[in-house]
Amino acid sequence: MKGREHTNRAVIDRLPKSGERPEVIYRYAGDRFILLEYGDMVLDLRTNFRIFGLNDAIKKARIDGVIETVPALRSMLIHYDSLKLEPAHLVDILKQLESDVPPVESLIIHSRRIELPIAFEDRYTRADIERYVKYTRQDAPNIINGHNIEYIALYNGLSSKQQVIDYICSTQWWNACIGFWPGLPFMFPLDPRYAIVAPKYNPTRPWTPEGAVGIGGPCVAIYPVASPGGYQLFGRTLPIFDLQQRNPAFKDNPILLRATDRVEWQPVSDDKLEVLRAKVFDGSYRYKIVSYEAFHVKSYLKFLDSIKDEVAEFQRKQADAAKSAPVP
Amino acid sequence: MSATCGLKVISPGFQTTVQDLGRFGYQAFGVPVSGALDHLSLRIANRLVGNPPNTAALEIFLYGPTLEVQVKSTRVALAGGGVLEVTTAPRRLVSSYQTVYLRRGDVFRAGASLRRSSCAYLAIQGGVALEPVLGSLSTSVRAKIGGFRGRSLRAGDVLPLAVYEVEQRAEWALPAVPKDDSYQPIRVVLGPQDDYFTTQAIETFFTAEYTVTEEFDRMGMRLAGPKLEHNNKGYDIVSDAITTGAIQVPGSGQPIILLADHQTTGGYPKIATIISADIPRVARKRPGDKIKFMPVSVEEAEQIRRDQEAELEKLFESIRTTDPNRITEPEELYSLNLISGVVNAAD
Repeated sequence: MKGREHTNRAVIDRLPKSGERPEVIYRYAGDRFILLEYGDMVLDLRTNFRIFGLNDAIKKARIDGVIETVPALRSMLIHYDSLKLEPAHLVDILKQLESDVPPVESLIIHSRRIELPIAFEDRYTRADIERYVKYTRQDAPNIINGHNIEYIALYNGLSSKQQVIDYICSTQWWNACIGFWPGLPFMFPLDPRYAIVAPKYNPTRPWTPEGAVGIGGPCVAIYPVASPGGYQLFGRTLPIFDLQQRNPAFKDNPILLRATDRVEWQPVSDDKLEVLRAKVFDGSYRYKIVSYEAFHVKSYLKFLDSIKDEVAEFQRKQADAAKSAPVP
Repeated sequence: MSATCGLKVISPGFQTTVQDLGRFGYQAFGVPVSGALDHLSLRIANRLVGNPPNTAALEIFLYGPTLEVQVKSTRVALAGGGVLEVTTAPRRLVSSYQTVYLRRGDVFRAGASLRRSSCAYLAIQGGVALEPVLGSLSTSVRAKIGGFRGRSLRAGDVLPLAVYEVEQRAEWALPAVPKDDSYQPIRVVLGPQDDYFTTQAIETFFTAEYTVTEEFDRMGMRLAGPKLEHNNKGYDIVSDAITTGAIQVPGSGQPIILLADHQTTGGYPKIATIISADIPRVARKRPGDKIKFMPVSVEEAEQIRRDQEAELEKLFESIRTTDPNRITEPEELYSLNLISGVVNAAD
C-alpha cells in the first residue's frame, strides 16, 4: 500500500496520454478483475472505437489466464484467473498491448450493418404510454398526443413529428455496448447532425413492450423483453432476443446484436411490422445483416470534420430548445 | 420427457432455483453470470453425492421446498444450513452435510427454516435433466434464462432428474460442519472507484456497522447505515461493466452489494469490491444481520482464496461414511442449532 494515495488505492498503474491515445488507468475491481479506463469520465465515440481495437489485441494475444473481457463505453473489465496470472503481470501485458493498438484514426473495426424495420408510434408502445398516463402520471409533460415523439421534437427544437422520424432514420446508430439486460444495445448516432437527446421518464414507466425503441440522454436502446423503462419511446421493431431461437438469426446465439454493429432504421407501417414479426417467429424472415463491411475510423473522422459547422449549428438550436422545454 | 420422473414440488419454498457455478463468457452480451450465491456450499453438496463441482443443484433461499421423489430412488445432500426432514414413513431428520437415500413416494422438506444462512443447496446424485442455456444450467430469475423454465420452482412442477435409480450404499457425511466465521468482518479490496468518495466516507465505511435490509435478493443486497458521501466528482459515472461483490453507492449514500444475478453494467461508483473468498460469506447473511468491512490488499485476497481452496480440499478428504439408518433425534438437532445460535449472538 505504501506510496499509493489513501483515497485512490484501486489504481494499479497509469499510462500517460500520448498523442491521440488518451490516458489509460488500470484499476483493481476486486481480486479477479481489472478495470481498464480510457481518458476522462465522458463518452466519446473515439474512445469507444479504441476499446474495440484493444479488445481485438487482447484476443489476438491469447493471454493465458484471461477468462473474459467485457468492453463497455469507455472502459473494459478483464476477468482473469488469479491462481494463474498475477495482476501486476497482466497490467504489464496490457500496457505492452497499447502499443499494438493502432492509433484510433487508422483503426479498422469489423462492424456489421443491420437494417431493422421500425413502426413509429405503434399500437403496443402507444398502449403502454396510455397506461402510464392512466395509472402513473396524468400530467407527464413528455407525453403529447399519446406518445413521446412530439415531446422529442419540442426538446430538440425540431418542427414536427415527421422531422424527428427523419432524423432517426438519417443516421446509422453505433452499438457501443451491450449491457443492463441480455442483448440490450446502447446505440449512439454516427452522424452528430441528427444527434437528438431526451431526458428520461419521471417516474419510471412500469411497462414497455418487447421490441420497443427509445432514447435516454443521447443513447438509443431496444428493449429485448417487456420490462419497466425510462426512455422516451419512438416505436417498435423486430425481436432482438429470442431464447426459443425461432428464427435462424438466433440459431447460434439468442442475442441478435453485438457491440460494434451499426443499425439503420427502415420505417414501416404498424400493420407491416406485425406481419414481419410473425415471420420472424415462424422462421421465414431473414434479418438484413451485412457482415463483411469494415468501419474505417479514418474516413469517419474526416466526415465528422466536414460537417462540424452544421453540427455546431444544430447543437446551438438544440440547446436553446431544451432550455424552454419542460422536463419530466 | 416423462413428467413423472423427477422431484415433484409439493411446495416451492421462498425462492428455489436451479444453479450451477455460473454462466461465464456472455457478460459482453449483457447476460448476468448468475450461479450459486454460495459456491462453496454448492461444491460441498455436490461432493457429498459424488457429483462434479459444477453440477446444477437446487438453491434454497430463505426457506426451502417440500419435494416428493418420483423416481425409483435418489440420493441427495443438503449443504449450507438447515435440516432435511423426511415426512413419510420412516420419518427421519437428516442433518445438513450428510447424504440420504430416498425412494419413490418419499416426501421431504429441505431447509424448511434456515436460521443461520440465507441460502442452502440441495445436491442430487447425477444432477438434473435440463438443457443448458448459453453453457450453463443456472437460473437468472430477472432475465428468465436457464434452470427450470427460466424461473424459480412452483408447486406442481416436476424437476426432471438425470438418474432414475441410485445404488444403496453407506451414506457419506462431513464429520464436522464447516466452521462458523459469520461474525468476522467482510474483507474488501478498495475500488474500482474509491476516488469518488470523501476520505471521511472511506473511514466511515471501514468503521461503521451496516445492517442487511429486507431488500435482498439474488441481484443484490441493500445495506443500511451511516451515509457514505461522494466527493465533488458526484455519483454519476459513465456506465461500466461490474463484478459480483462490487459495492456500489448511489446518491442516497447507502451501499448496495451486487450478487450473482446483478446486471452486467452500472452507473454508480463502487467504493470497494468484496474479495472472492468472502462473497459466499456475504451471501449467507440474512436480513437484520450486521456487516463490518475490512480492507485487504489484492495479494492478501489471493492468499485467502488459496487458503480457502486448500481448506475445502481438506474438508472433501474428511468425508466419511456414516450409518445409513442413523436417525438423528429432533431434540439433538435443535439443541445443536440453539448452541450455535448462542455463539453467534455473543459475537
